[in-house]
Formats: sequence, C-alpha cells, structure tokens
Amino acid sequence: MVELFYAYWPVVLVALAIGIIVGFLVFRPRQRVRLTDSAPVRPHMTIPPGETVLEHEAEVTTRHVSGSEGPVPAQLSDELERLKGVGPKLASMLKARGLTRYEQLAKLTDEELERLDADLGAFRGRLQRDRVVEQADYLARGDIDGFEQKFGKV
Amino acid sequence: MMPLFVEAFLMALVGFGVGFLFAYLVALRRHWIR
Repeated sequence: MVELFYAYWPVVLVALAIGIIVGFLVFRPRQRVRLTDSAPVRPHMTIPPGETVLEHEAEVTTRHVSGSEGPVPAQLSDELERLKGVGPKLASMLKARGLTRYEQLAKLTDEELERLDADLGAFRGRLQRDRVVEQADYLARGDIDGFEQKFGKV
Repeated sequence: MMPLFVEAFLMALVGFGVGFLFAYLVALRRHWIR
C-alpha cells in the first residue's frame, strides 16, 4: 500500500484536488429561499372591496400627487388637541399617520375613517363617538361660533 | 499483482475520497450544512 502511494502520489494529489473541489461544490453555502404562490399582504396593498385595482391605484396616485397624504411640513399642521375627545396621545397617532390638519380630518371618507379607526388600537371608535370629523370640518372652515354652539367652548 | 490501471484507479479513488471527506468536514464545521 505504501509502495503504491509512493508510486502514484501525483495521481493521488490530483484526485485529492478534484475531491476537494467536488466536495465544496456539493456542500457549499447556499441561501435557503422558499418561494410561495401567495404574496404577503402589506398595509399599502389592501384594496377596499368594490374597488378595482386600477381605481385604487388612481386614487392613491391622485392623493400622492395632490399631497393630501404623507408627511406635512410642521407649519402646516394644526393643533389637533383642540378637537373634543382628541388628547395628546391620539393626536400624535393621527400625526404619525399623516393627518396633521383639520382639513384632512374633515375630508376623510367613511371608508377611510373605518380603516383609520381599525388602526387606532385603544382609541377605536373614538373618532365616531366624538364626531371628530364634524368637529374638524368646523375648525377647518374657521367656524368657531358654529363649533362652540354644537360642541361647547374650544 | 494487480494490473497497472487498477492500481492507478484505486489510488485516485482514495485521493478523491479523502478530498471529499475534507470538504465535508470543513462544510460541517462552518455550518454550511447540518
């Protein structure tokens, strides 16, 4: 056996190199990626029922271009705490969702309100119960008298 | 004794086996495989 090795050591060396290369190719590190048919649904991917994808895209694009959604410069934000039923916590939650002005709150559709409400956790139902959208509408128009008649002192 | 090509083939097989085993152990230690 030893004599065989001495006689054929170049052959053994070449075979060893080939073995290492093949072994590496077989056991090399690979990313384990599993592909699924269903894409995970993310918040921005939810489409309200009764709306086609195209309509939804158009609406989102319009909102994006018109700037009614997304971060708003600080000077364009209103004091949301003036609304009855909105405290500092809820106000900061609304601001985090891009709602910083009375006008934006007043323009919320029922559908948007429902979606927003479902996202508010402990404050769920607060916006409807305290008629925040109606309050915001008064304040957005600057109708303080009307607001005070309906909801009490600002 | 054995014919020449059998000797060479056996030696090549042993070399390949040792190399493959080496690669396997390296992969095991580096957690490329479980």
